[in-house]
Amino acid sequence: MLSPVRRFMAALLLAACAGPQGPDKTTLTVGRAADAISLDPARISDVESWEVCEQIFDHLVRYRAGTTEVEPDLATSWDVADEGTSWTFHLRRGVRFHDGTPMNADAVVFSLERQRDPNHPNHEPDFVYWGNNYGNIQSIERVDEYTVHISVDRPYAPFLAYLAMVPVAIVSPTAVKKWGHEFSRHPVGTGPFRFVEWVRGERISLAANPDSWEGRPKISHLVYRTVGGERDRLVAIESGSVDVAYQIAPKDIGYVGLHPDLQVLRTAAHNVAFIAMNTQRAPFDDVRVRRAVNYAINKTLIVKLLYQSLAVPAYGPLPPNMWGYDPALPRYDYDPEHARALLREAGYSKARRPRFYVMSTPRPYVGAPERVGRVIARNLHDVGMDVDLIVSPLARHFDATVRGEHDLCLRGWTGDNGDPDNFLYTLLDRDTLTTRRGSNVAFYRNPEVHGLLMWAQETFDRSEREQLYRKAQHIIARDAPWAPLAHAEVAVVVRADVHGVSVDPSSMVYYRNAWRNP
Amino acid sequence: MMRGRLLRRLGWPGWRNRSLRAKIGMGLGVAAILPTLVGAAAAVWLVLSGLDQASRHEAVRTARVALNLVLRQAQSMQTEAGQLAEDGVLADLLVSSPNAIENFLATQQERLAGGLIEVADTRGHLVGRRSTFDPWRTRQLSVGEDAEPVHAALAYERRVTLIQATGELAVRACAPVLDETYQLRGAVVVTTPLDTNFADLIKGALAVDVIFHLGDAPAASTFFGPDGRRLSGRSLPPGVASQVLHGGTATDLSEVSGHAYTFAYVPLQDSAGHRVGMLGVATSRDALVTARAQAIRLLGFAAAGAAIFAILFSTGLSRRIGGPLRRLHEAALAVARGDLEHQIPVETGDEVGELAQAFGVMTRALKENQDRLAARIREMMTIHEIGRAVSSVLSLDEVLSKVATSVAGVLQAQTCALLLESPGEGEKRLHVRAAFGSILSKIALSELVAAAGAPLRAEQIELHPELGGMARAAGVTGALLLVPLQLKDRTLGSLAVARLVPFSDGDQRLVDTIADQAATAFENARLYSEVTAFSEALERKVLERTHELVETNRALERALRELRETQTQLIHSERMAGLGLLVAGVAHEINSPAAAIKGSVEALGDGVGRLLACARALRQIELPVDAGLKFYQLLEELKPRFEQASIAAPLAVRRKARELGAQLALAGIHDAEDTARTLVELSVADIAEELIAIGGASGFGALVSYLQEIAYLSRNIAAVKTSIHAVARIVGALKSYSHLDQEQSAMADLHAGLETTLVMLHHELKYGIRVERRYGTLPMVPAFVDELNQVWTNIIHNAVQALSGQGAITIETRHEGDQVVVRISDNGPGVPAHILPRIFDPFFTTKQKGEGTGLGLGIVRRIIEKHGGRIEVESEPGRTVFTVRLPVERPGAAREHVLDRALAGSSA
Repeated sequence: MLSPVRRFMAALLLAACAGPQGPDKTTLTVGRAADAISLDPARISDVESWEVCEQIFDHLVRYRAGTTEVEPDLATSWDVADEGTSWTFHLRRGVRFHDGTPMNADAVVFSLERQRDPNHPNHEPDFVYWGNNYGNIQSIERVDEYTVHISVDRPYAPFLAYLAMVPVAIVSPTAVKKWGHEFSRHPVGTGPFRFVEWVRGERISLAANPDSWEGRPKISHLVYRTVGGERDRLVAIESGSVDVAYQIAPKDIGYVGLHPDLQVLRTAAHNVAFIAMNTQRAPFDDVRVRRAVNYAINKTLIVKLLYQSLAVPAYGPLPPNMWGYDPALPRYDYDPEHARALLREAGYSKARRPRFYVMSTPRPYVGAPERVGRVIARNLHDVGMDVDLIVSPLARHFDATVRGEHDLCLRGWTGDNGDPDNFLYTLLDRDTLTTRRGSNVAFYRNPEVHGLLMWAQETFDRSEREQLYRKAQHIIARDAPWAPLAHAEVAVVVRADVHGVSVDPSSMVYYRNAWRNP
Repeated sequence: MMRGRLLRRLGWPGWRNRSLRAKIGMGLGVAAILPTLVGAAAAVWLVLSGLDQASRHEAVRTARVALNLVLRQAQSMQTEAGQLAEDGVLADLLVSSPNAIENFLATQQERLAGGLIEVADTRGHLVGRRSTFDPWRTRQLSVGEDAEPVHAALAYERRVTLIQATGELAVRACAPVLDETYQLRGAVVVTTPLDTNFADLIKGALAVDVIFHLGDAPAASTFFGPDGRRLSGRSLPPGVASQVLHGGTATDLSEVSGHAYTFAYVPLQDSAGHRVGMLGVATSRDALVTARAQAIRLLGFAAAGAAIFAILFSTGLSRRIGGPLRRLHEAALAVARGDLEHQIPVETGDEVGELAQAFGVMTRALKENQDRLAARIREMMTIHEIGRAVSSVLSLDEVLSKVATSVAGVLQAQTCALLLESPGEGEKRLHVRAAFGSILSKIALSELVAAAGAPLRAEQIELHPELGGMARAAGVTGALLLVPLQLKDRTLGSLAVARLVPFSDGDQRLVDTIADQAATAFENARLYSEVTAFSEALERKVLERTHELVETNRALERALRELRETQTQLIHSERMAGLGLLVAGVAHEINSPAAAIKGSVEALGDGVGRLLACARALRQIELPVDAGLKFYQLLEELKPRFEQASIAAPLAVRRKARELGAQLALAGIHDAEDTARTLVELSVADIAEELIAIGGASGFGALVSYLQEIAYLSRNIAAVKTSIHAVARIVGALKSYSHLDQEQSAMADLHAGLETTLVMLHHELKYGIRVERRYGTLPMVPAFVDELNQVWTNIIHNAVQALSGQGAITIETRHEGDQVVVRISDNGPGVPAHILPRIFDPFFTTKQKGEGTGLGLGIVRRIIEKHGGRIEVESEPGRTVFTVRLPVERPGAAREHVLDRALAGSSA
């Protein structure tokens, strides 16, 4: 116990030596536009919830940092048998959940079974992801303490990639049983950070998990703060009140580049923006008209001016950093003359103005959809095609395009799991005309493409799958059901003294290895 | 050692030889002065280095703000270049008449404040240019033919970056020129140097001096040399440039043109992240340097004062302690000299006093002992002499005669006789062997004594009951002492002593002894040795006592030393606490608002000058009286708008100004466009018509100028108000900190408090918020009025915030039993249910950053509880009610509880 006098002296000395206190060096604060909705991995679909869950939970397998290659996570190895319908996973030993519950086969079976079985005591009606992506799972069984067996209804190559996604994260059975529905506010996993506190609409605080199987993270706390406006986030990171800021306006990226205290981390994200043409209806049932549209659009201008250079031009459905992407794909470069010639050749009639549907809501893959729509309408006008631009809010837009009210529409996609199947099958297979919320809005149905995609789903050899996807992409390019526009980049602004932040093509950011200059 | 010797040679008596008082005095003095001086020096050092540190942090912060201004400028350049490029006109001109481009650019010069605009065609050739610089500088800043930035723009890229032009830094923005069909027509490049003009701009905004460095070389600054010429900057101390160009920020303290500054540097980088230069700001340290000198002087005085105090105190203390000690010492010396009569004049009740008393008792005991000893010694001396005589003198007669003489001498007897048996005779007969004075012839008496073997002592022998007759018969009178001389049970004779004065026991003892002495030489010698031994033991006892005294003295010294150390520590720490708290806190906090007030007041000074000029102009247009009145009434109404005018987006301003300008031009207004722009910028475009009505087309300009100056004044005054408010807040915080604001509780009228609060909040309420009062009859309530006002302010302010400018606030008061109830409700959107339970938590806020700390309602609850009352809140959409209940009786218990807590807090 120090006397007041000594304490005062000590304080005076400290003040003299230390100067003003700097920010806490071992806490990283992230500023982002919106708060999470739920932290139960089985019931989320928004990126904000998704990213927090990625810090708290592990899955059986995961993506190697910065790629979409699958690598071991809670499962150290796996065997495939019976032509890909039987999967056996060998679990990592000695891992414990944040609440001390041991992570074992029972926990894995519990985490998946509560979603699969509608009669499971911890089943919730809003486990939406399961039906969409994991409906092919027939059973999940414990073989022994550290072995789990999963059987699927048919050979399905992308299955492993799907197991690296958040909805099938392994949760603590003890915590789920204790909290029930409220588990979404008290998440317990095995990940590098454990949940501490959630002040709705304000912040989510996480603390380093000292027992993480990968070793303790270098920072002690990770805080997600909700900072409303773009401008506010920029000001917050400039002042240092946050260390990482998401969703900075593209127009401010130039400004950030000039700022010595800030750095921009950019990664080409797994997404694509495209113009889908209704291939089932005149005039776009004619491939020449569809190609003409492709030639008419000035992608460079759109990428440089409307995406403010935070994107690369798209030439096909797959982003260039995804495996299966073919750089030798035929391209439709901007050539209005050629477009006009093709339209003439196809006998395009101006009698009916095609309806061009555009959403008014900014999306991760297109920040200024309406302006993009106007530029494209102008491009088309220049080659002799006048369109009616119909701008509507997102829900209405989706509704109309799924129903096929459009001749042309602006749509996009953000990849879930890094498998080419997630783009090609989801967006351009005849199976998905009506399922999966009608994601094939070009109503493109090519039996050859369908055959290739199904074949690829049931092939487990990676290079063989790659060949199949290349072939499919070439056919799609030839048929031109889309005019691909751009793959938007993710830009995360980070204080210059922060290192080791890893931005994933899935646009998730990981802080496992993050640290700050002392 | 060497020093000691040297000092001694110079006449310094040396430490060992100083008196105790001098030692205590000097020791105390040094012990008190040294820590004080060291402490004061340390305090000065701590405070000054703290201030330096603070000034460095302040400079770095300002440098970051300046950097922000530069970067915002770059961003606005990019925006402007983009707008120019997409305006449409340029695209048309590039196709139709490239020769007209320069004329068009001339009209656009102003929006791109002081720069170089260049236009290139689709092949990258420069086809038009507009510059505010001389040809040489224009060439230096030009992007050049077929340049990379132009080609980037022609690939649709918009870009802004910082470049190193010849001798200076510049912002360069490029944008593609597109027509309305998004056809590429060329590129625009805008280059604005970061020159002295721009530095002056930053200086104007931040009130600090600014330097731009190209790489590490100074390129432009706001400094002027002693000769009045502008300096390009100053060369940097080693290490600063590399630190900034490779790392982060750097600061240094140095002088320019005789003024002290704190410099802070931040790097400037291009869009690729290469460091192209540095931006430095210099905040004046003159005030700090003065303050430092004052502080040192003040502390010097304080140290001197402390030293004087310490000297006086230590002198007094040493005198207090040393005085009695000295007297004790003198007494001891006196005792040592043998002066046992010496009195010790010490009456203190401390250890010294007790010591003195003990010393007195001891001295008295010593004196008595000594008296006794002296008598004894006298006797011993006699015996000794006799012994010596016995051993040295061969003749027994001589011995006996010596004995007789000595005894007579010692006892001052008239007669002394030694009667011995004659040896060799058959019959025992005594005869006088030696005698002094008249010889006693009455031998018979002696014989009797000798035979009895017991001494005889009589005061007056003639009156002796048994022997009186014999004495009278022998004619013997007076005092008589007869002692037998015995040796080993054998009586040898007797010793007779006679005198007028009666004999004491001592005399008898002496004579006994002498008798024994005389009896035998051996006995005599043994007796002598016994005496010697006895005297030695006595000496040892005295030594022991002295030793004890010395020990006590040492213990006393130790106690004194401890007392002295504790006192020194106490004085030191109190001084440190006072100094440190005051100087460090206030200086740092008041600096910023003071600087802001200074800036605003200077601007006010200029503004008043301009306003006078405008007023003269206004008088010249000779307004009719009622028009003049109307104008001033208008000014009054507009004042609040001036104070809170926000700067509209430049584009919006331009568009609006253009429209208004066209209207004004139609109305025949001179300089229509400029005037319109002024009105739009002041956000009073809506009163243009009223102004025309008042002043007509001719007086319109003067009215607008006057209006503009009034607006500027209002803004400056608002800025001063804000700053003063900040200062007041600091002072208030200081007061609160030192508990000066704890005024007395009084009987208060709650309605008065509510009304005061409403007056205070009038500015928030007067637009669109209706206040409904439903006051009941209330008794006076014991309260801390100011604190309750704080409660009303907080609640009403919250309601205003919730209403966002529209709605109603209802204040209802009631007297219910022993309570008064104040209910404040609003019809705003309500508090969300999940927030409601936390609304009184400290630091809880739903306001945006910068609008409030979130302490408000937490404090409100504390205040209410301190008054022994309660606060509750209910909320649903459309109705939020805060209910405050206060007791009518004095809340004694609660109040004491708070006081207890406050006391406990302050002593912890």
